[in-house]
Amino acid sequence: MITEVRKLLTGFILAAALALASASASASVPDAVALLKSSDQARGGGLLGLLWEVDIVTRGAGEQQSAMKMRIKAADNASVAETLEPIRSKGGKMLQVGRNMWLTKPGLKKPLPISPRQRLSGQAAIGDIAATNYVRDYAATVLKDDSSTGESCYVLELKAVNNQTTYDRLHYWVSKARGVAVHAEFLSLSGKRLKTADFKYGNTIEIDGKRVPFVSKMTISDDLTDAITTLDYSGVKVQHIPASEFSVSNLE
Amino acid sequence: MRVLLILAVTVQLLASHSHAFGEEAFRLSASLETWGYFNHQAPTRDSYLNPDNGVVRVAPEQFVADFRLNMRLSSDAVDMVLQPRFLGESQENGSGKRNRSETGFRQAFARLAFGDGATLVAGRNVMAWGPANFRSPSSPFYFDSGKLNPLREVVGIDLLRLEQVTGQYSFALGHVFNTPEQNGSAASHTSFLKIDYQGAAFLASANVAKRNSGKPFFGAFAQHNMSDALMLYAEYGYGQRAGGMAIDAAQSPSFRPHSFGESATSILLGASYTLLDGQVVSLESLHDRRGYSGAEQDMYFDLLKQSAYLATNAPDPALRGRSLGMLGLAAANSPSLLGRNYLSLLWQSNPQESAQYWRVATIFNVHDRSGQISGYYEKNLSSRFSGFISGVRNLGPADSEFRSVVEQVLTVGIKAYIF
Repeated sequence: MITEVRKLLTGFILAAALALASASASASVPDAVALLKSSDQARGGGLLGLLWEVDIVTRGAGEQQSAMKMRIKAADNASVAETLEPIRSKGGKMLQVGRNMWLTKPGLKKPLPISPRQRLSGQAAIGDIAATNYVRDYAATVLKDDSSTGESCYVLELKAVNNQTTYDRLHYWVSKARGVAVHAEFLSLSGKRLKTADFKYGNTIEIDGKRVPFVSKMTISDDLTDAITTLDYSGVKVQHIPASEFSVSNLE
Repeated sequence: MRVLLILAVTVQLLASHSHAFGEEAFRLSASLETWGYFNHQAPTRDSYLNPDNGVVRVAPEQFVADFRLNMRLSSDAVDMVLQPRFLGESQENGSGKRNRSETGFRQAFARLAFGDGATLVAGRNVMAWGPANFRSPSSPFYFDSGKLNPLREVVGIDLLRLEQVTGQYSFALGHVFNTPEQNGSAASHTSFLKIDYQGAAFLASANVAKRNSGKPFFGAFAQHNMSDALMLYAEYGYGQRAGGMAIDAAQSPSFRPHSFGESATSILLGASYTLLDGQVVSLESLHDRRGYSGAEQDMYFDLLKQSAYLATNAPDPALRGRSLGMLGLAAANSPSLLGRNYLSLLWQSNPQESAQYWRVATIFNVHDRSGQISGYYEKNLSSRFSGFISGVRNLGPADSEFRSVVEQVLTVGIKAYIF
């Protein structure tokens, strides 16, 4: 009888210990989706509509330094990027609606439909320039805790859940204190690292009467070519962008 | 020309002081490009359509200066676009120098956005659609502006257009008042309705257009991104098109130009593949019932041969004159594509690359086996200048479509980006 009571007690204590351990573990593992949602907001995701300008400078890879300035309008799964500089490309536009993309440039007879593969080309991929909606496009899991430039972070693993993404997989460092992404590694399907990126948040936007941080600088290092591209974001405005802005017939 | 320069300076001053309009409310942007290029054209020596270059009078040497000013005043709700153009040409065609100039507007329109997704466009607007490179059968307003000069721009049409974008659909309803590229009369006063449906990787569109005094035109196209790299597309059109010429050897004259031909079908099937470095290869096949059948095409060249022989050998000056007149009639009114079946292959560099751009294209007439090979290369020389070179080589006998007038064209030029 005593032996049975001992067994029962031992079992109870073990079960209680496991339950406590499990509760403590679930309290320490954050919700990956909530983290992603918070970090998306600081990069334009999930907002009504967004307008901004971005200065893009690329150095290295045996090329001369090149610079571009673009004006971006983005909403939901659509974006239109207009080239403001260099002067020879002024007026060119790239429209993306889902996986449909068009390019127009001075001298072209009509908007040119381009394939989704073009998302990855150019000085910076359109997925880098336009708003980020990772919570919609990726399944997220928390991989580990780590730090990036001295800041304590959760590292998320993101895997594409649709074919509208620029990258198939990412490792994404989200600041524990600020809830914004500070570092990213963009990976191929096989896990090979294609690019890394670092983010700064010197801009703010107003959401529901509160000022929240917004991305101001993204530095992308290309592992394949050694090129370094810097994107400086300015003039950020949250506003409704009418659907007609994303109509190919209004690209001219 | 003077007006354009004054306009350019004024716009540049306004653009540099855009705060005068209030940066939040209105933004003025402007650019001015000038192109200068030299063209060398070699007329076909044994041509039947243009014997001794006496009918078309192809200028072997030509210098062109092309000024392209683009202005846009825009706010959240309004876009006003003005694109004046000036083109000056100096030709040397063997019998002396000839200068000519053209001034006009490529686009001049106002676009008003209202509600959620509605726009109203009034003025001259380039309205071109469809995924095809070679031709655009789905558009009732399509015009081959590059037939004589591949560097020419498409000029807009004068219209009023109302468009509503609702979710994945868009509806456009409009009326065209004038088509300047077709001498203003051909497709004037045409009403149209166009409906587009856009899926995640798919776009389909259908339109119907009706001239005031003509039969309706039906057009449609679809494009589908099969994968990241492969896009398949098709364009279809059924209806009348401006221009063209019927042939009847039993009649005199045997060539009978018409302002609009009979309603006919054209279908284009195409595929484009994007390589890893962004280069794009496109293959297209066109079947156009508006062109001549094989027998008609043979008859066309038989008639040209007879006329060319008489125009150069007939002892009677009146007969020589009539024969030259026949050739002139054919040169001015032949359909823009003579036959019914064509293949087109285009390979171009990454269109997003800004330092240089190149393309190589070939077109093949399936019936007479004539063809055209062309190439274009442009490279930035500095932040404000780029240089380009372009070449066209037409292949086939003199009684074939592509070599009937010109054998080859070489163009060398420079583009200057002023502001």
